[in-house]
Amino acid sequence: MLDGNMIDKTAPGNHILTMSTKKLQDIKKSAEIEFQKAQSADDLYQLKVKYFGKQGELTLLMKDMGDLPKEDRPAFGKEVNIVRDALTQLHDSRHSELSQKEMLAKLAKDSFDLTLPGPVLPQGAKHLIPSVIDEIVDILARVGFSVRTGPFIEDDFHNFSALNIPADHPSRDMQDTFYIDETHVLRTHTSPIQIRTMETEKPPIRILAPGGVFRHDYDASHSPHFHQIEALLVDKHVSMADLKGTISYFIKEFFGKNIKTRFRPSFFPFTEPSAEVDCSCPLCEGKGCKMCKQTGWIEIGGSGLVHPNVFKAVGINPDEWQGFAFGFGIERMAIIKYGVSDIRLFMENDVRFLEQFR
Amino acid sequence: MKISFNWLNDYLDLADYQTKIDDLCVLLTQAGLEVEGVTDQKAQFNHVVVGKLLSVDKHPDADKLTVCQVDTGEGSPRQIVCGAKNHKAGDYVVAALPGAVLPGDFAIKKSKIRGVESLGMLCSQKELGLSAEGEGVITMTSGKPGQAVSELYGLNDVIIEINVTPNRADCLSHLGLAFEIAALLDRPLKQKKAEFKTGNFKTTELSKVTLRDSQRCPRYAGRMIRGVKIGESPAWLKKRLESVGLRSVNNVVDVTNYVMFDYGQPLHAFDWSQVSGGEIIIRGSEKGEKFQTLDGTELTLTGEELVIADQKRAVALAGVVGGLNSGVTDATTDLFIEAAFFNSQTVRRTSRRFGIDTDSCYRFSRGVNPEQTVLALERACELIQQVAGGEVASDFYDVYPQPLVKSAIIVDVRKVEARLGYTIKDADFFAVMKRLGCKVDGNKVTPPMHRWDLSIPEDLVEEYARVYGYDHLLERLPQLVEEPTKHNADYLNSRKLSTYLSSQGFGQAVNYAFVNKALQDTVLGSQDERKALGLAGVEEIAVRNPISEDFAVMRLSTLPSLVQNVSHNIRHGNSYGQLFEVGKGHYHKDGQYQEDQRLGFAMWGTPQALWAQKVPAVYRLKSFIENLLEVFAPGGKGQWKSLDSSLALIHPGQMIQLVLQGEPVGFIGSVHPQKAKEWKWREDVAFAELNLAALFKTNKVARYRGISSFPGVEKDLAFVVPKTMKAQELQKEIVKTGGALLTKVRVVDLYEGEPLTADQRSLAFRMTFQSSEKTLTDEDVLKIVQQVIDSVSSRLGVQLR
Repeated sequence: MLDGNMIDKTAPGNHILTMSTKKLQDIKKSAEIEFQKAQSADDLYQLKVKYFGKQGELTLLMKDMGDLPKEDRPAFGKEVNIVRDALTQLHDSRHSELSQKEMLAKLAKDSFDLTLPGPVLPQGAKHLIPSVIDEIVDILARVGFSVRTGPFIEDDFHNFSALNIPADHPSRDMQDTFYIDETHVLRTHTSPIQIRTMETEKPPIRILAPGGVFRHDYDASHSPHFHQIEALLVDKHVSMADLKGTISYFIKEFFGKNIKTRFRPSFFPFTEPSAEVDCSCPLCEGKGCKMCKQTGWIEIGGSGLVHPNVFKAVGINPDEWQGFAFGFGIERMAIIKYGVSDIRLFMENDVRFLEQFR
Repeated sequence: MKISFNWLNDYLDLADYQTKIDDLCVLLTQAGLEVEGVTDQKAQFNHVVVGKLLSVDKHPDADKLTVCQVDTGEGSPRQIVCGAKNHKAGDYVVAALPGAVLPGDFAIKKSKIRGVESLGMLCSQKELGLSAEGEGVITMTSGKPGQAVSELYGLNDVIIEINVTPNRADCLSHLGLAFEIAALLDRPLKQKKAEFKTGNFKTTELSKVTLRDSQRCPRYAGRMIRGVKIGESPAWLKKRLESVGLRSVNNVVDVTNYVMFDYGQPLHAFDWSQVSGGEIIIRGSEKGEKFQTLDGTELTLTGEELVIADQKRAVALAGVVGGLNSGVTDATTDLFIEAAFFNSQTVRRTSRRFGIDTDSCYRFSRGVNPEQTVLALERACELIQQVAGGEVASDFYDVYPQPLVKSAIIVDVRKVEARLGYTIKDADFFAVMKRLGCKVDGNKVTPPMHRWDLSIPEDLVEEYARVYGYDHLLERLPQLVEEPTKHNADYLNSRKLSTYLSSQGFGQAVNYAFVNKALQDTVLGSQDERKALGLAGVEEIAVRNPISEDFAVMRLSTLPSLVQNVSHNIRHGNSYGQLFEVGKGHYHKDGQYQEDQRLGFAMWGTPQALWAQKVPAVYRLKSFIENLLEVFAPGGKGQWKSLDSSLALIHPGQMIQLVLQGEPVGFIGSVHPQKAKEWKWREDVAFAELNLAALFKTNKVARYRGISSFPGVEKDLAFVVPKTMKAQELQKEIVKTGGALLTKVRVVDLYEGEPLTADQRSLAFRMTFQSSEKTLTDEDVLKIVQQVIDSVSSRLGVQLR
């Protein structure tokens, strides 16, 4: 070896250098063999420690370099670095080979049958009645109405007299009433909320009165406890056109743009003029079906201009203020829109019913 | 109310509507007289005609059948196969021809019976629905082949069922409705004066009428008829009464009923021989006075009723019902016919007091026409004479001391326009008023007496719109000038809660406000126990007239209802579910009826699934509720308090109370195994309920708090504790000692078993330490941890595991 011949073999430094060079080559050889042999990233890591670690063979060799004559150190250092770089490269490539192999093995092992279900998470549902109330509130809130509530147990004044339904008047028979005592009833409509609002707030007023109401009636189409929503508007100039326009807007938003509104004269003690509200049947679109009894129209609620006696009862001057009111049955709206077949389903709270309306 | 089309035609020419009844119905409905049903008698018997049997021969292949040649007026005879035995050649019969649909939806078709063609069916009374029984086909000795059977039996009426609203008492009779239709169609009414022969005697000589209460009986008229013969009514009268749903009694009673449906005026016929002392007295009842109604019911009067009496006793409850003591019987010959105008409230009160609802009090309590009293009386005299003979007295009583008047309404047509939202010509408005029978003088409109519902200008606004047509109303949105207001807090809170909880996996329940009392008692226990549940009130409110036992008392809480919901679901195979309800509880307090908003929960079963963890329902529910409290009552200082339940509903060792400012406001608990057994619940069931008002009181608007930029340090400590010690007790001590740097403590492990003794368990807590000022060193943390260990050891006697 030419380089070897140039080295003065008699010098003690030279001897050490030869030893070191041999050692370096041995390390290189054994490392190359071992890196190739390594079967896992873990084996490889152990080898990395063995050769490159703090106490690693290459590291120690570098430390021993201090024993070399000063002039030989740079050349040897260079040699070590070449070996280290080569080994590092070998390690890295082996590492990536092994990691990839291991990853493939892991992937094969960890394959999931994702056709299996996940854990059952409870899926909730809002009840249809409050949902429909919220739906109606949202539509009418856009034209300025806001919600008021009131008690279920009402006195005679708020449920009847103030609404122009005097004692001993046949109009009391229109609503079969549950009594709590001589002067208290379970409210038969949400109209007492209107009275309470007019007693405590100054006009103009635009409110919605949703909630439970009670009638002494129980069969497949009547529940003794059902729900209504009523709207009341009090302002300076209010006409039947405002009333019809508001209801018509509401019906189009709730049932669909092509649904028409029809007014029929009717009687409610608390409105004059009064109108029964029909909408063209959303199911058959007015062609006639079982739901609309072949008439093409469905009765959905009552309405009218506020009777002056109602204003007088709450201390609002009927010469100065006018108003309209209308009301719908929530169950009825839900039945028409969502096709619920029996009113009793609403109060059973069967989860199979609830989960149909999410 | 049932209206006969033929009867209407007595008073109004509606011949043009005979073939378009539907148009008439639309007219009525659009005028506020809602038509609820129509029965066309004639259409029921289309293609059913009279036939003559030309020949009756044996069927070639069937002994029991005959083959008839029937003349049905069509030129050539029809062959009809018949199974009856009572018919013979020459008889007149009723034949249903192909196309006919007999009662019971029995459609007649051309057919072959045992190989012989049959072009119809010979009918029995029963098959035509004319009588309940009847063997054999109808046979008659004479007839007109081809004549419609509806014509033969006079079944040519159309019955219209109208829903008359309480304000329109004037439409509760045929004359009244005819008047209304005449106004709507602007055509004249036909009404003729009653005609009858009078005898040579006077009502005013043979009887005395004393009106003692003209307040409650403003008008009283009466007339005597002598020598009547009580018997069956003629067919026309029976048929008319039947057409409006009345049963025939006898000729005189039938006439009084007929006139009521004719003129709208209820009448009463007294058997004059039974009226003691020859005097009719209209007076108030006496307290304790006995009275027996026509149907024999004995009433004890209260002193508040108005009665018709003779000199000894009451003979009728005014306007409500006649007395058994003076009613018409088969032996009656002399009559006193009463036609009166009674105060509507008086009649209504009496009717309601005794629960007697007659056609008479139905009309009186809604208001009859006081101007028709005498006309109706005369109509009755005419008809009684016609159907029962007798002589009508030459005069009559008409006691009407203070004739009723209607006040004029002053109308500003511009205001009518403003209410209706379209322009109206003054002349048009007043013309409509006149059609309705109002007197018009300038802008003063006086409604007719029979329109009790018209008294203020607004009433006339509706009248105009009704006649002109509601279809003309415009549609526009009202102008919004003022700022809109906020939704009420109760509504918003319950809406937010419902949205939150349904997205957390709960189904929302909505339940009746009233429940079964026994169920409520079982579920909520005694009054003291009720307080433990966090109920605001404990005294329940009963419904006076409940629909059934199941709806007898107002519920104090959502729990009784939720128990029912769980039962329903489990019974129907829904073995797993979770419900919440935002609902009211009602109670008595300080002599007042009160209500509070409650939030109830029910959770039952566990999902049957691959990855399911076995967590008891009550713990799952607790996690949901703790999250809920963090969301809805973040400022709340709610504390859980362990409680030994004594409730029938709740497991004694599985209940915890939520306490807010010293007051219990809710609880969570598992169902008592005894109840689960009784109700056949095999599932794990938990309930909870919170008082919403108390909860939302603590709600505050969230404010940003600084987030520490230094890392937190976690340390776990496990302690061996006696089983009797609640985790909360230990945790409280840790929190107290841990100080401000201990930001979070959680129980992360629970262990029971070897090497611990049977009355011990191990609880592991994970503590998070964090400072907002620096990175904590190990020394900082270990110092606190040591303090925690020391204080737990010295104060609770609990050691590290």
